[in-house]
Amino acid sequence: MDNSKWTFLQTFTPQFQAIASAKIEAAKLAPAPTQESFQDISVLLSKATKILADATGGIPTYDQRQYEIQLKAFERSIESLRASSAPKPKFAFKRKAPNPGAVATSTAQVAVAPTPTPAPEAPSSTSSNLVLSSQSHKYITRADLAAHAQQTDLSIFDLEHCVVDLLPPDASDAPDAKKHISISALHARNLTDCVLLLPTVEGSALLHDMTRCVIVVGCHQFRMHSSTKIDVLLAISSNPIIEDCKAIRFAQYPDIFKTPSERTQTLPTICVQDFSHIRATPSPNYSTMTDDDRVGLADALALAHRSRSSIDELSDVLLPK
Amino acid sequence: MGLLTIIRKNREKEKEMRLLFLGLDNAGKTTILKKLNGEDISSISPTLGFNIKTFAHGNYTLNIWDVGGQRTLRPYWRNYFEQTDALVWVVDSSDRARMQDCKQELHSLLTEDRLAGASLLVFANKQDLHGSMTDAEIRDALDLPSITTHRWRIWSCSAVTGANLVSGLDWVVNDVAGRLYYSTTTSPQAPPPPHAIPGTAN
Repeated sequence: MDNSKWTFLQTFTPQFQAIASAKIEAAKLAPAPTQESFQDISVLLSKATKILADATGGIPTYDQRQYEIQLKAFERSIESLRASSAPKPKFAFKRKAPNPGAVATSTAQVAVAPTPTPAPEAPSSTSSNLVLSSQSHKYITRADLAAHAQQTDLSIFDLEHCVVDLLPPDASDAPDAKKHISISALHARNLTDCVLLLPTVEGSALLHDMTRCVIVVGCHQFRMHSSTKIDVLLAISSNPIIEDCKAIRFAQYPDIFKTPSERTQTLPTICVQDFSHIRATPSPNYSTMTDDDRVGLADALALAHRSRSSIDELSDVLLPK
Repeated sequence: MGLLTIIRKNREKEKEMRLLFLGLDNAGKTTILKKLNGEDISSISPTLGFNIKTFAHGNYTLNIWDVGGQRTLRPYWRNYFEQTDALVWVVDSSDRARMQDCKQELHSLLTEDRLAGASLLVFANKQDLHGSMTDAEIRDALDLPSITTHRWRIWSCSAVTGANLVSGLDWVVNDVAGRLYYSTTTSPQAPPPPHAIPGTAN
């Protein structure tokens, strides 16, 4: 037993120190440590930690503690190196910039070198989405939208006294390709006294800070936050949720705005969940619209859609102030 | 044998990992999980409470906790921090308006003691949407490069198409495995150095 301990100690001590010094060199010699060299060092470090852990009981306690202290020190120096090399992309960019002018002969290298640097930057400016914002007293249709891909996600911000009508011109017509718009997700925030007439959104609808609005939409998921006095006509197969809302009424999406194929689908009854009222008792914050109200509202909206009525003519469909 | 060794050996036998899925509401946490598990994603309702999924991934058993992200539920996230090996932060890449909110929630999570040491995978979800932000934009919007307390990676993915979900999970599982079970991982880029000492058998 003693003998085996002794031989272990003899092999372990020099080898452990070999690993350790290799690590010190790696850490100190690399002037601009790359992600890979960090990985290598961390792998070495974890190897050494494991060896040391396995050697527990095989080496004197004093030595063990010394090695542990050394490992801790390496860990710290790696951490500080990692931290200091965090703004690496900028640094690399600056170093490479004077290269083309200074080294005129190595054209091949110059051509290759700049390409990886702008790569992460390039896509950052390209992505954009369809936004409809900061309007008042308008009837907004598909024609008013900015140029967009046929399939897009839509954000609507800061509207008041507006009707946003993105339904096909006539629901019974087969919409031709030009007019066709397919909304993949809807984000809306800060709408007051507005009517939204939207077709079916393929993804989810997320609404914040709405006041006195009528929302007609079909979607995969529906979430509404911090809103009051909203009528929601909804085609949905999951459970719509509200949070921090008051005086919300729900009803089914009007048949008249559905496409022929949507009319054939039967949807389950809407089962709202109020996250501000997670109790057995029914939530006081929302209700289901009566059939009379629902039919009356749908008729008024259909008329508005046909005749492009302004919001002032529609003010009676909004819930009272 | 030290206590740490005993604990490690014990966990090695189980080969289990605990992953915590968090993110704002509407990020797609539940959809990612269901897609990974091969379930139907067409009728998912916003999560009220939490879901647990357990499935095998490679050699490991993953216990995945998916907690709802509605504002009302966020104070309850802390109840799920214990024993978390990795945090998977899911971002709705099309939700430009709430990136600031998203950043704050993430950075406040990272100060939690009980999540110290957990690997962080940021899923930039909903890349199938045309107007969504790229992973580079989200990395900057969430100020990920400032994170020094956790090993992190951002992964663009789509729960609807399933793109990149498995590879993202691979990274986080390997990262955790490298930390917890390093004696058993065979990471391709790190062959054992020739002078390595074989572990003392006991």
